[in-house]
Amino acid sequence: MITIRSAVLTYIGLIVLVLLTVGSIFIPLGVGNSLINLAIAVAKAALIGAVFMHLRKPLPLAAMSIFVLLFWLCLMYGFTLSDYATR
Amino acid sequence: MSVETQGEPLPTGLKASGELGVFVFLVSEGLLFGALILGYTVMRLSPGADFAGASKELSLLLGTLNTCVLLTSSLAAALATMWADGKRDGYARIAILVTAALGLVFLSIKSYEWFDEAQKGLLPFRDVSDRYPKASPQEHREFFDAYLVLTGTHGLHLISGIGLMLGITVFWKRLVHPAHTLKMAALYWHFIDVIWVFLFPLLYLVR
Repeated sequence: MITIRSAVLTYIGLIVLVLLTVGSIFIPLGVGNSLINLAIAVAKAALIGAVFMHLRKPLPLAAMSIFVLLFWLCLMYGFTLSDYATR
Repeated sequence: MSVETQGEPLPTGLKASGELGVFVFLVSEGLLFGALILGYTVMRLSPGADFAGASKELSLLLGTLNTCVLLTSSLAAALATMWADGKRDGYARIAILVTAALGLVFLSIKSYEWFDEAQKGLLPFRDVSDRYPKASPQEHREFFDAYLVLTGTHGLHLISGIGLMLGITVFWKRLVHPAHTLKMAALYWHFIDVIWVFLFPLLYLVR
């Protein structure tokens, strides 16, 4: 169960991360820009998941679902990109 | 069926819960968007392609504004869930309406962007070759194809999310367990938000 305080703090954190990610593109770092943007996107998704979706301490079935999603995504990206990178 | 009220084990020994069904659905949705983003990634990694350069044509201001609008809608959905759990139905229903309204604001801004881009000949509704007299206009065309597919699929999900939220608030008193139904719908809403969190940097911030 979340509180108004934790929801609002999470929201402020998310907006700060949006401003950070937008600001970061004005510093040319090449591939670094994409990596920073990806890291910030993962941080935002984690915040939304942990607080708004109540997944900080997920039920076993919810945790299993997330694991299954990540597992299949790893297979999908791993096989495709390893094929693509070794052509 | 609700986790709170349907505590009786089924003949299978499992307790019935809508929550697992929603998570299984979200996993399938995650794989759908994962595949679409993988297509984008492969196009972007094509050697020598100026695929991401076309991102400069998108409005960074409107994209950022839309991201903030969607994050605010997620806050409203989270507050609605919290108030519904606390039996403060009036507050919860207002927060659901705010969530749906912010979803409509997002779609309006997105529609304006699509209209503006179509007017400029950037979307695949018209040939963009005259817009890009550079050596490789094909990559720009591919970027806008990917952009339209990704934002279009996300927009369709948002439309169904808005319908879901409005349906819950309209039929609130007829629902057996409105707080639980809202919790399930809010999971879907936050998921749509998470998808946009990844689409925004991939489409708008690769300039």
